[in-house]
Amino acid sequence: MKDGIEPEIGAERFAALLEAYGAEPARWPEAERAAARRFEAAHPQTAEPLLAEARALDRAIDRALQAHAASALSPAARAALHRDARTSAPPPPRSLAARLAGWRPTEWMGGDWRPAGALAAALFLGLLGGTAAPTLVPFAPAEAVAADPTVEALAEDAALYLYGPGAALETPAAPDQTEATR
Amino acid sequence: MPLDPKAPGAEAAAVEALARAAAAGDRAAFEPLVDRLAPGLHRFAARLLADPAEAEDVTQESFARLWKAIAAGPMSAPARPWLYRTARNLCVDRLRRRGRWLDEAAAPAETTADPAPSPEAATAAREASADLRKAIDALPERQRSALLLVHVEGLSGRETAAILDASEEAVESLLARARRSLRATLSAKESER
Repeated sequence: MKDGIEPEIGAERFAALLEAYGAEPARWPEAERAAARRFEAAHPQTAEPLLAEARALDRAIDRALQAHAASALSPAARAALHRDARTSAPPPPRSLAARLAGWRPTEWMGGDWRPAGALAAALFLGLLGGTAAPTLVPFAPAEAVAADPTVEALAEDAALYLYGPGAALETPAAPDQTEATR
Repeated sequence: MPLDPKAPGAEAAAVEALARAAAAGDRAAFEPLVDRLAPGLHRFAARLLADPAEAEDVTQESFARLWKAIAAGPMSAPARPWLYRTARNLCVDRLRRRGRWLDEAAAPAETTADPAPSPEAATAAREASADLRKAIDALPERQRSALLLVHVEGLSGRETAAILDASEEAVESLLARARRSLRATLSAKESER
């Protein structure tokens, strides 16, 4: 075909088309179909006997192959094909409402969210404890501990136990007591 | 016969539109592809194998491969010839395993239903059909495939060429040889009577 115009065909080509494809124009090659129809119209004396012979063979083949209709797909096979088609098709898109109803944080965060969450929580608690420590954990200075009468009594008890009654714990006398003994 | 003489190529175009839709993710296109292609594909395989039950396995396997091909991305060839080519290859494998590559496949049970004007004519017509069916089954596989694809399934010479991995000229030659052989069978039987 050139410039969209089909070339004309002669008797020889017309006979060859029928020899291969039979009398039914729908089976003829698309590129030559119109030209073959033109030949048929222009040369009926040549075309008609060829068409009649080809048509007779077409019918004989059709009759011989009618057994195909008896060997159609069974209902079970047809159902299986449809089932496979449904399972092979992509899943239907979910509506926005369905997607929101089914939303889970794990979907958003991914599958390995637990270790990351634990680490973040530990970091947060650490920072919180660090900033609040001066008020929450009041360690006393050393002078205050030494002046504590409870601590002093415990030290005397320990010396008595370790060194006996003569080993008095030498502690500096209080200024007011020194003044009184004078 | 499934051929629609008023709309040559229309079926192929409809199938390709469905295949493109399926490849684009349109789930509504999958089952119509089965409806359009499975009966003819099974008929073709049943004729090649002379075994409708085995042809169902071939049909199912061919479609399973089609779904995989569609899921893998754009197909390299039109879906209809691709599917028939897959089915033919599966049939050829099975025939080879049977050792019946150039087989004289068993003819299915006779179901010719054409009314005949007289009992004698009916008997003659049935005998002629049975003889021709045997002659079709005895054709070399490529000639038989070409005849079934073009004459029965309504595929074009170009589609058949793609299925048989041949040129359109080669398909035309296969068809012509097949028809000449069948015509000779008919002529011989008529001369016997």
